Amino acid sequence: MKPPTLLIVDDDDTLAEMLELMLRGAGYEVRRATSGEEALQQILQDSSRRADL
Amino acid sequence: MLICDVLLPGIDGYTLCKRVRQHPLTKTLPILMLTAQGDISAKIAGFEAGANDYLAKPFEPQELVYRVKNLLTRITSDAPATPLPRGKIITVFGAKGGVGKTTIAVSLALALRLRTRRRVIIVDADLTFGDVAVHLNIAPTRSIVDVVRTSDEIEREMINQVLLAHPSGLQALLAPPRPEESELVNADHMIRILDLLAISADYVVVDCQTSYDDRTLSIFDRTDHVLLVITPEIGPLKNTSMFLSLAGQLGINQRAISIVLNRSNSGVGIGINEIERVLRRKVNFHVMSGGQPVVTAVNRGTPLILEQPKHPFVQQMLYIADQLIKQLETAQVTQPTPPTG
Repeated sequence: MKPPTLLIVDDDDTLAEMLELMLRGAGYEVRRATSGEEALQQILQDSSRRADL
Repeated sequence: MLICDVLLPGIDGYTLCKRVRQHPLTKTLPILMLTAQGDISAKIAGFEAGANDYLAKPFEPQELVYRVKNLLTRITSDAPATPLPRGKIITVFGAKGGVGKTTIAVSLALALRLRTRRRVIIVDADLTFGDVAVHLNIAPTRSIVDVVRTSDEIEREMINQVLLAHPSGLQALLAPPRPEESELVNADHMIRILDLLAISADYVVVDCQTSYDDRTLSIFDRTDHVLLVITPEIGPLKNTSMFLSLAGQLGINQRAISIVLNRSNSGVGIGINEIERVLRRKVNFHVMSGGQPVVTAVNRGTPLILEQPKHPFVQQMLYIADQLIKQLETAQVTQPTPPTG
């Protein structure tokens, strides 16, 4: 089974990058978005393909 | 899963949350919100927007990892593969007043509670002159009107707060204390309340008003089984016959209706054969008049079923409860999926 995918939405790059590293280290697949609009777009694209994001 | 900050360029975190919740494909996506430290209103707004958890900045990165882990386990184990289990709604209806509808509804609710020890709720939907409170001797401190008055959106928790407990373990949602307040409850309220009660309880017994307004119809819409109470007299019989043909038009399955002939031993009334001929169907249950002990029990507010388990009236009510439990277990009822409140 694939690890769950996490999407981090934060415009603070330093924080987001740190979180991404931590969560990758914990075994999750991580992606990032810097705005709500971008996040929505990613979520919808992903949801139509797979269920766990 | 989504981890989002509240403050974002363009749409903010709350709006993002709401949009995600609105979309059928993403409405169950777990969401963790990041908020500013100690900002309680931001936390509440986050939950209202649909977030599952929040974390105040600054936080220990390790805490975030644990929150994510917990949230994912919680959500995936919560996520029901099948719809939420739904309790059964039994509506007690009398096509004419004075047939002993409330006595039977209260006794049935108590019988179900005694037999199953599960969660049973009685709803006094005789909104104008309901007297379930009197039968159970419960002080009517809260009622259905408190639910509909509080806000437009009825939540499960609000209903739980107005339920009153009876020593037997039965819970009651009472009718408004003042007749004029009954108008505040509309058909949509009724539907929402019954849906929420059905996911909280194993059995919901509704003492339904004797009228055909849209609130009554919405109750029938949500009902799994109707207990139709009649007495061997011409008035109730005529009205019951009319109700049965209306039930057909409403799409209520005839098998989901049981006819209870109350006071079947009163001796002055119409014979059973005559009743079945007029109604063109069988009477399912006979209840002998409980006589004086039943009246006394109502006046004292101690239902007979709790005091005299051997009394014939009580035995008959327990029998009805047993039959309904059996029938509802096996019935393949097709009900609309209730909202998950």
